[in-house]
Amino acid sequence: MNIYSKRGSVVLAVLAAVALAGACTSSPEKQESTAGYSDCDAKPNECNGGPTKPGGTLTYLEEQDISTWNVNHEDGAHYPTGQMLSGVVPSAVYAAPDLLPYANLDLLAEEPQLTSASPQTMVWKIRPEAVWNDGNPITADDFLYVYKTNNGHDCECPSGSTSGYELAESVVASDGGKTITMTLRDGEVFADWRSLFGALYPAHIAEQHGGTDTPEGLLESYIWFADTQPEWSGGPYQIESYEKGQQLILVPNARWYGKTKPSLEKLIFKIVTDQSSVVPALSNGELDAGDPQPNQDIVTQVAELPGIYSTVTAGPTWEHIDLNLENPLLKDKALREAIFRAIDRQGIIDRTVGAFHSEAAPLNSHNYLPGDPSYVDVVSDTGAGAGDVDEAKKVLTDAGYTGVGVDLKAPSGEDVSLRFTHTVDNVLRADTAQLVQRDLAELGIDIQIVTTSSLGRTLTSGDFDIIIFAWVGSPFVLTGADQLWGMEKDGNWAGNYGHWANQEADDLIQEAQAAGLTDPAKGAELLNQADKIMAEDYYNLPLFQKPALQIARDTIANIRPNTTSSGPAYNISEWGLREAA
Amino acid sequence: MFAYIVRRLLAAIPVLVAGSALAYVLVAVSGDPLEPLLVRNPPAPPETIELLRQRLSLDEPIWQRYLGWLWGVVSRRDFGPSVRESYDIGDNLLSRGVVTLRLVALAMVLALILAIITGVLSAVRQYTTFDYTVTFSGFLFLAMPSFWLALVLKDLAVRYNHATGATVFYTIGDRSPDTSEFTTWQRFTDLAGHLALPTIALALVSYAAWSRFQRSSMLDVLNSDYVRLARAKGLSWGKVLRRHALRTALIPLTTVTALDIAAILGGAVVTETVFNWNGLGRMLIEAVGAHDTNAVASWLLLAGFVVVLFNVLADVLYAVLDPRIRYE
Repeated sequence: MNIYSKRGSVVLAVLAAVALAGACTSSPEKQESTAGYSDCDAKPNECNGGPTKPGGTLTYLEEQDISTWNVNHEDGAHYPTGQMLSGVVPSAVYAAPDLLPYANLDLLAEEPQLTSASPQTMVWKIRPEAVWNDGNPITADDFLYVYKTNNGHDCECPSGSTSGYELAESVVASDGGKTITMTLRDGEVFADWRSLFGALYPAHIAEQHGGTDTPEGLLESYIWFADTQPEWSGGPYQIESYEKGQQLILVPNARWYGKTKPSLEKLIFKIVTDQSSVVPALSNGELDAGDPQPNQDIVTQVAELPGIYSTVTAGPTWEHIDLNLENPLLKDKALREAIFRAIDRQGIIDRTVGAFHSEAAPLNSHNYLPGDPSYVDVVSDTGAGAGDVDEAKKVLTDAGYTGVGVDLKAPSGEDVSLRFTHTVDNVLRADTAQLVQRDLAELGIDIQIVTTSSLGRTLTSGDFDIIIFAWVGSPFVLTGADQLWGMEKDGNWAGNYGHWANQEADDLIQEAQAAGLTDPAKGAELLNQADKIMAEDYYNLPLFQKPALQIARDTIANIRPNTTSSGPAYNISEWGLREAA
Repeated sequence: MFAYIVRRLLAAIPVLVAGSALAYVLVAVSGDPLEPLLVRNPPAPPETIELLRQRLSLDEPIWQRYLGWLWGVVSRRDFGPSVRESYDIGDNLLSRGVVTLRLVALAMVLALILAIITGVLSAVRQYTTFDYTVTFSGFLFLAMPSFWLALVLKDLAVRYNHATGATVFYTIGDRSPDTSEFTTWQRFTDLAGHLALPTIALALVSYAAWSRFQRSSMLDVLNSDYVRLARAKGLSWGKVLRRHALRTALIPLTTVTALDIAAILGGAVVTETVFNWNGLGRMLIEAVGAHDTNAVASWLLLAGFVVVLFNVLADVLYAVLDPRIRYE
């Protein structure tokens, strides 16, 4: 298995807790596959596969430019940047199309090991063959450099994520620099430890541009890596040239140590920011593949292009409706239940993303996505999102509300009038807002739709009653679950913007993190129990996964949809011209 | 004249300061540059958010940030920190300005040539089929949104390429990604193939308006006494047209062209976006999307300066071309 990973901070920032650590112990199995995307559901890791022939140039669409050359930097949690640098920046972990995390066994000699649960101790062993393109070996120093620049205390480096690193007591090199042992402080648990070291940077080059021992040196080198187009590479490709806003051109790294050598002569990431340009450029032969944001026009037109494979799948980004429990009206569970029961999720899907993704369906978990073995439906049984107005009215009537269906008033006599906030100029959310407004009008609830140009500020300030936004799913969810659904800790609600607090669920989340360390299945089970409690408390209503589109010319092999944060470039060294073509 | 130009440029300074201040405030209050960090899953570390807040001086009042930015621009040609740490605003203004200049200059030349030719011919052949055709096409291009015109051109170009079996026209970028092994001729045709569609798209909109100006201006001149006198004195029609009528009829177009630079820059924003050119247009859109106040204000300051400069140029040209008008 040659699969090479990438994209450190994206992995680190987005991948937050282990779902299936067991899956991280072996590489995906290879199966026979056909060209095209027809069997991607059955064989997500193999579809559109096939042998490649040497040579050729492939031009892959990216919708945004590179944001920074240091993917661990705060600007590096950026999907297109991760995609484009995935062939250059080595990583210890990646997520495959089957939604499972895998160790990068091109870089590592074996699966990383958890050698002790208390204190939590983990070991990574690097392959002796692993080298940077200047011939210097990839060593523990490179892992140490990533640790120091992302732990939040060795330097004031603007890291995209300190998750895991900030808990470490020590990170020690041994075995001639080929083994790294990380030990967490006593009592600390980081169930997502396999997500660590998602992007390695060469310490020997950092030494030349600031240093690796002092806070000032670390910061200087960190910023140097952010600002400087790499001549170095630890992946299958290296950068030949880059033109801002136009393209990144990669050529094979002659010192690539992985099992599959890139067959392409050149790989071009072409930056095309205008969606309407995609179809003409594909038709004109200026693009060969890409995964642009889908809409009805582009999906329809691409499907009609000869010689182009395309498929729409459920993407990793999922929309959800949150309630602000600081609002006195919404503190009443009966009102929350009635609101969620009245919202018709399937109706919203049919009128929005369902127009170009017929398989779009309501999402029924707050942590796992369908296809993940840990996915459990915790929502359907609660009636939330079913669009059952009669049942919703009954809940309100039983709870003492008056004016049900006409002009709803709380038992206290207060009018039930709420704001529904969505991001300005977001058509999908604007449509959803109107559909929700219609659904809730049947209960007699007055919904005023308001927009925000600053979603972050609106969320952190709590200036909303009902709000729609999105999270990005991943195979690592345990740590993320604590941040999104956990109770306030040290005055910080993290991503739990609606301030939902439930001691039992919070305890379960903490237990899930501890259990997930050694028993991932148990961790997932506990997390699903916590999720069920939240679903039954009607705090957050998951709507649907936003569709994702994958396109590739039929002469190209091994480009397939990967709706994890690793993206389609997770197997970049396998991309090439199809042998039979 | 020199003193006049200096006076006009000095008078433009308060306009530029007021315009940039307004733009700065509007962008600063319209969005939060910290948002991408706040809505990330999981949220970025508080230390990282604090570092960005400090780097962008977000704790300071907006007016203080604006004055700091303005002083940096004036005293050090420093356009301030961008939301994106590796992003140099000044470098981008320069490099992308060159790209935009290439597009705008060519489009203006093309539009002017077309406008003058068709405007003059329409006036000379007033109420003929040619005149009606040019009038119709002029209003058609005026009515067309430029992005739609660009898409139509792209579609036609791709059909042409398919029909001929050769890639003559390109639809994205200002040149092919990898031209390292191209011959000089191949590079030239590649550049021309990339330049053709956006230039035409941008030129047609300006051409439509300018050809109408040229037509009416030419008609005014042709109906004037001095042209009749010239004809009465026995000058040939061609000589009257070229030496006497056309020269006078160009005066309004010259000033209109200079004044239209703001509209052309606006058109370039759309054209660059649709044709995927990495010019100033796309820079503005990216900056607005990132709530990058310093970048947006810098862009608008540059655009404002260009507009003021061309307005002064229009006044000067007007005075130079029309001896009846002289500034004291």
